[in-house]
Amino acid sequence: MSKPSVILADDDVLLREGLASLLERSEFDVVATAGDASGLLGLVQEHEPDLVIVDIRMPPTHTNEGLEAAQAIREAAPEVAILVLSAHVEVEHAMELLAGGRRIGYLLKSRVTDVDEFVNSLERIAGGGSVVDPALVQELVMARRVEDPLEELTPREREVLALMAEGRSNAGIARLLWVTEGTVEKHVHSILSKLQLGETADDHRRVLAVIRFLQTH
Amino acid sequence: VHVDTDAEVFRLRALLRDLVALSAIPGGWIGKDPRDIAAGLADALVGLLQLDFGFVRLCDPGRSDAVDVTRGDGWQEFPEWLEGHLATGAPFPGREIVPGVGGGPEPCVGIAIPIGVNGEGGIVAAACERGDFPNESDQLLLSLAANQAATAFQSARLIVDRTAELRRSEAYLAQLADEQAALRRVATLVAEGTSPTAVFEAVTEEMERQLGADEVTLARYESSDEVTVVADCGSGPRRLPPGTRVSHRGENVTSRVRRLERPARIEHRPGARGPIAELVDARGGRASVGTPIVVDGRLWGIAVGTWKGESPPADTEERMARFGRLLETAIANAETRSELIASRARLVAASDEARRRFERDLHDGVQQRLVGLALKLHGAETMVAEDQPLASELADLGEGLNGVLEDLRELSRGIHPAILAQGGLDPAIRALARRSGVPVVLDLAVDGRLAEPVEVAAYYVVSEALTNAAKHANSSRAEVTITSSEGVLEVSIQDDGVGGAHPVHGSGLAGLRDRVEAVGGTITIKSPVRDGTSLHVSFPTRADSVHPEGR
Repeated sequence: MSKPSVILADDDVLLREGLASLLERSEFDVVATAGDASGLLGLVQEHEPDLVIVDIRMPPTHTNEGLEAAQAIREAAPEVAILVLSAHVEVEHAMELLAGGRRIGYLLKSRVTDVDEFVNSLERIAGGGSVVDPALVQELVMARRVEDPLEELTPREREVLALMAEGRSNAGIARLLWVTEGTVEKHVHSILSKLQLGETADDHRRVLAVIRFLQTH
Repeated sequence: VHVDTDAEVFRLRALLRDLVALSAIPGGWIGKDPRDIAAGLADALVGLLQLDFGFVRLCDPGRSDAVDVTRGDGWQEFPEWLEGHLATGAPFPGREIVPGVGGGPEPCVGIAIPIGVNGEGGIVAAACERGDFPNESDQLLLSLAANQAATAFQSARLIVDRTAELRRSEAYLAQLADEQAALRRVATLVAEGTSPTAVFEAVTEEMERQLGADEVTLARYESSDEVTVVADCGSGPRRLPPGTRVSHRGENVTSRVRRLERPARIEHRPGARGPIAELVDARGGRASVGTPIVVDGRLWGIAVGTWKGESPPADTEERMARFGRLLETAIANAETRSELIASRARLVAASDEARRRFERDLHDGVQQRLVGLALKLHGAETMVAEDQPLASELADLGEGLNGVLEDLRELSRGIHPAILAQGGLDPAIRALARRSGVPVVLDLAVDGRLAEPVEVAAYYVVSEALTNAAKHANSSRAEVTITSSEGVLEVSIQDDGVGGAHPVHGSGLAGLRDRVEAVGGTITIKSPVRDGTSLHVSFPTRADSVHPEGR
């Protein structure tokens, strides 16, 4: 199997180069890099990479150029996996990205320093999954509610719910919690029925449903 | 000479009785209308003294109005003689006896006696068919009657005058009281810091009412030969909306007040030249009075009243000046206030800008560099064999860096919410609610985007109130309601905590007031002990409402 090809867009040279060499070391093929979002779509169409990693804030306005670029790429080349990196997490940004379909990731920029976990996230995205930053999931799960539907859940179920929201598969959750996949399935079933969410075999749809539920309750 | 003693005694008694009766008359006349006095006297002539004809004219020296009363009839010649005599307007130096004035079978004699010197106070006249008329007693009685009448009339007139004067001063006092009340109403508006526009409107309306003017216009002098209208009220056509510029070229009260820097009055001549004269013409104005408005020793503007009828009373200038002085205070206050608000707004904007810059420096600068360093470190780690001591040192360093990054993220939270600038109030407030220490019930109805300073102020109000609810108030829940409509954004935050938050001391609430007022908003904090805290803020959202009227 050939290495996954990656295009990298970040305005900070140090970070861009650091990330590029990390990716190279981790069996990715960095086919192009960019310092802003303007030429990114052109590079994607030229190189047809498996994955694009884009910083959300880039010149000229340093607001959400990366987000707009991600949406443009999603429209022009839906099969390309995209990871958006942000200095801080915003639920609205995550929802916008998730609404665009699978193969999407939204992570804090500082996650790149935990190389193993970061590479794992990239592989999950490239493999068709969705990844949501744990900090954002924590914000949603920990938010205090007047009538909290999450109170119905056991502590273990809350843990499983958070991992589901991060975009992890049942197998992934099982590995992390040191339990069997069957146990995870049971938890998932219980959670979904308590929250009155429909069962789905599709991990991405599950992420979307859980995040939307947490955001609106 | 035959003297009938009994008859003489009888006559003297009658005279005495009549004298007493006549003397008593003025006492009853005090405070009466002069016409009643003249009528009473004429009645006494024909009734008491039993004369056939009586005439009384009462008048004041130097006064044009006279009261005439005639009693008795069937007489033509004497009244005609009298009329002819009075019509000449010639002085009436002494009593005049006119024989043979009767038209009837008996001979008749008339007599006219002046009241006061040369008859300046009027005339008492009588005629009678009695053979000995007018004998000494008749003349004495008539003289006495004339004197009494004059005295009674003078005192009555005095009373009438006094009463009129009293009424006038009562009216004056009432007018003064009305004016004081009007001035007080305006002063209250000024003291409450009501917007200058509202004060200007109130003042012109009060002036119009108090001075009985048909138009009142308030205008600011510009550096050219122009004024800018700030308020204009009245019934005439061609109203001037605030902000209208009018040239005061030509002869008019506005240019005169500017030149003299004191009150001025002008009577309008039709066909006078200049835009103001034309305007006054169109509105049918006849007279105008203007008073200067001086702020901080500088001629600021003018208040002009215009009357369609007669020129207003002489004290109008003085009365207008009283309103003018209130305006001076209002304008001076407004200028101080708008300077204060502007300086607060500058402070708030500067601190917002500093936060924004800090947030960017933190995220795009420090955080970015730290992540870059962590990546470099990781690169270095891969070049060192795992069993070397350096490897574990590098790993420690990496962990330390991760800790710093985590701290940084915690620190930067809420410094300046990027989502507020990008997505507006709705997502920013939702994020605040999620991160709040107390459960929050949201009711948000904000249509679209608002001016950035208003969004930022509203955000900090909610942020501070929720922080307060969680930290100090021991609340179990908070409600946040935001609605925008009709140029107003209303923000309410209510918690069910312990209350007793002090709006001035501590708890960050005092800082909110500055922030809210800097964008023209108002804030109300209610925090009764043990009964929760509620915070209500109202922001004007129209573009022009943020900046109060300046110079």
